Amino acid sequence: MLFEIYVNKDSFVHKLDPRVKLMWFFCVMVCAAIVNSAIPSGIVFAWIIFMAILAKLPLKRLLLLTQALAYLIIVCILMWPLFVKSGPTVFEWDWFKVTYNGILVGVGMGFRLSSMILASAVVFMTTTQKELLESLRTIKIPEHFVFATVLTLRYIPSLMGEWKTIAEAQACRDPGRGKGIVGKIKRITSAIGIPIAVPLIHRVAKMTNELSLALDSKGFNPNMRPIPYKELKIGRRDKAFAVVSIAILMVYILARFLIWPQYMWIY
Amino acid sequence: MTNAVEIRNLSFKYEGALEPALKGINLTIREGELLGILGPTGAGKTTLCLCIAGLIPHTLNGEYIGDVTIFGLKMTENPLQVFVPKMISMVFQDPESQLFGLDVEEDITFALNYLGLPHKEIKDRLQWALNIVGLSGFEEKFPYYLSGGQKQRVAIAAALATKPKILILDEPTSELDPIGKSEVFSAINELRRTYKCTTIVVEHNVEELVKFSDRLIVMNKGQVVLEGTPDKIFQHVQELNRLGIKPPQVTELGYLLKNRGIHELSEYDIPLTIDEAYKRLLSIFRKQGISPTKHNVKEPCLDIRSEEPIIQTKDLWYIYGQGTERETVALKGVNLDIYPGEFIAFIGQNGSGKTTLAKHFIGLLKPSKGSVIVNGKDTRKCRVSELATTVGYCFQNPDHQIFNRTVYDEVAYGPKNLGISKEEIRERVTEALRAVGLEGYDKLNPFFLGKGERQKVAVASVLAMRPKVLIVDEPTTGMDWKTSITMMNLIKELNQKGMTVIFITHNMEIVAEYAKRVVVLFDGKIELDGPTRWVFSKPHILLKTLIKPPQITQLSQMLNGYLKPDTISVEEAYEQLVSFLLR
Repeated sequence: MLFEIYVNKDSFVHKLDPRVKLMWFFCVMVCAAIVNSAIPSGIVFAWIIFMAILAKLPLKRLLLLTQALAYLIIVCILMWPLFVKSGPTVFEWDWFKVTYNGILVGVGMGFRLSSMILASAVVFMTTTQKELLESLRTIKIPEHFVFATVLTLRYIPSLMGEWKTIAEAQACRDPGRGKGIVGKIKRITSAIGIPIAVPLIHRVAKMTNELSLALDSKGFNPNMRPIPYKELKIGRRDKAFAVVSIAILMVYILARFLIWPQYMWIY
Repeated sequence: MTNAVEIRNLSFKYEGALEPALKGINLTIREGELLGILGPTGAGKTTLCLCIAGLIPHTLNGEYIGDVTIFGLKMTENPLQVFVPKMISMVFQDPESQLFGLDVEEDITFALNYLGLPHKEIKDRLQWALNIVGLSGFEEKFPYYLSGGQKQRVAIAAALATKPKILILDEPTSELDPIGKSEVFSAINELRRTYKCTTIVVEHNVEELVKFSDRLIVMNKGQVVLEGTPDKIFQHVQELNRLGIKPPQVTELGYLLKNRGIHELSEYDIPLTIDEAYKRLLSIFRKQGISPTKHNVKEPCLDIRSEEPIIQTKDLWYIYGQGTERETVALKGVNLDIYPGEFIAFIGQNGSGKTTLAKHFIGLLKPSKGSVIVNGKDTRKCRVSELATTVGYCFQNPDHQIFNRTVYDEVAYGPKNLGISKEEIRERVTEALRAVGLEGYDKLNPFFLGKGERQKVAVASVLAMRPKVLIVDEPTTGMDWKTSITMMNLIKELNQKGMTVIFITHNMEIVAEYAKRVVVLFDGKIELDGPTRWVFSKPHILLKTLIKPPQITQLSQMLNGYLKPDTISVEEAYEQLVSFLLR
């Protein structure tokens, strides 16, 4: 499936209540946001990897996800040492100086960025879309927002399919693209340009028209919540997991602002 | 007996429309009846369905005159909630836009949520509805990845789950391939057997419709022009032909024979199905004491062609998603030579590789193994842009390519990209528009044209590139008979002027009438390749590929010995029959 990232495995993490997982995600995000040094952010990263192993997720596929941002991460690791100039010097040449702290922050930034991607990946890989939506409903997100999310998730692959067909149809009539850089730029602009956008919008308008008729014919009422298929229940395991996550978050907040601020955030 | 639907003097005009869509409709539908609605595109069939479903006037605005009464309740005097989803359910044409849940279960139980049913009842109805359409065990599937037929069956199940008193099916099969069509029809049959409700079916496929309808109406220009039981309606073959509705081929044959005064036949009504026609003709043969004679089908002689093929594939393999989990082999060693001036049909079920093969000819896909040579060039070594002047590819849905404000600009888009002079562009556009019969349309906005005309604009825009080969992907899907014929005649004319034409279609009558050579694909391989007549005379191989030859060919194969088994048109069958029935 094009957009399905859910990995069907039987594990502790899969069985956790989706709301608890969302809370864990929140904890991880806050932890990653408030520290910038290599060691504490490395611990956050290790925490996520630990969860992924616990969930029996294929680590290779997980790391592939960070590939998309690999450039950004590498640039971070290389650039930050140019800005952070405090601490003992590691390497110096004329005006160019790399310090120990600079390296710590650079590596830390790399960990933070990948943590943010991986944490969401762990949540999405262990939670079905339905569970997520159901938990959105239980935390009192208005039904029309939830339903809009449902429609978005449902129609992304359809729109991708439409887009691909339109791009192919236009390519058959568009032989004028040059070679080299000019050709490349032309190809990119034509992939998002008017010849593709107009038919796509036209198709979407048609589809939404029919969709709204179909919804009306089913007595759709945006203010009524559907009956949940599975009642979500918070069990002992969920509670224990939530307590541990919040405890780690607390430790991070205390360490960052009271105990060792100098080690957690480097200027 | 109570009346499920009563329509009195109903007229409706959409907001902003010039002409009313419905003009004074009077119609009564009895409870439990299956009513079939026939008619050309734009006759107001869908509008009538929307009026019965209550979406007009409750959701769509316009000028509404007259009354629709559902089981004694007037549509205009009650809110929509009284009627949907409990009393009336509707299934729409496009399966994609009516399945909006993340899985099949959600789609089917969607409307049930509004009925306040207990949890167990919802589960029971889900299973019941899935059972009827034959999709048990599909609860957790994501709708997008189902086949067209499966999607439409889910839509029917979703409509059924509310246990409606009236079920409306608006062209449920027009966008489906033959397998999908037969799946939907068998679901409708199963439904008729197990759950009696008033059903209204709009359908272009007359052959299937006559099998299960209790009554038919024929609409044209917003009015009901014919009404009656199927065998009564099809006495009016000429009238139907005039309206652009194609009767089943056996009906046409029966009509021709009856007019000729084949005495024994005129006692009966005109046959509507193959079985009826078979039994009637057989009894005539028996009475006259005609015994069958053996006919042999000539094997095609391999004519050695002196010219070079314009398209040639050598051991062509294509694999989708190579190296991923979803790897599928779409083509498995295809060898095919296409010569200039040929008129070829590619047929086969969805997923057999027709479109994949055709897309190789313009380089949209590159072979995974083997090679494709187009006009002497290896497609792997050149881009789509270089091939586009040799091969023109016209996609199935004109909506996927039309984006300009005038027909002229649309057709000129391709030539402009070639970087030629303005005069030449003008010349090419005029020529292309003339070829498709759209002279004088150049200043019109293509978005406001009908589907058939938009399709022609799409063909013209490909023709303006002056290709040597024209590939047309499903030119007649979702069109009524009249539009289909106009489109195909246009393509035929282009072929007569010397263009090589390849078309992909599911409509076997069209293939029989137009194609000179047929390539049957099955599971990524070429199963049969030869003259149309010869291909259709191989029922056993066709059966394997799940292709049904045209009705008339099926009939002549059932009557083998009386009729030649390679008969492919009604006229041929008629002449053969006349020659020995009037002897």
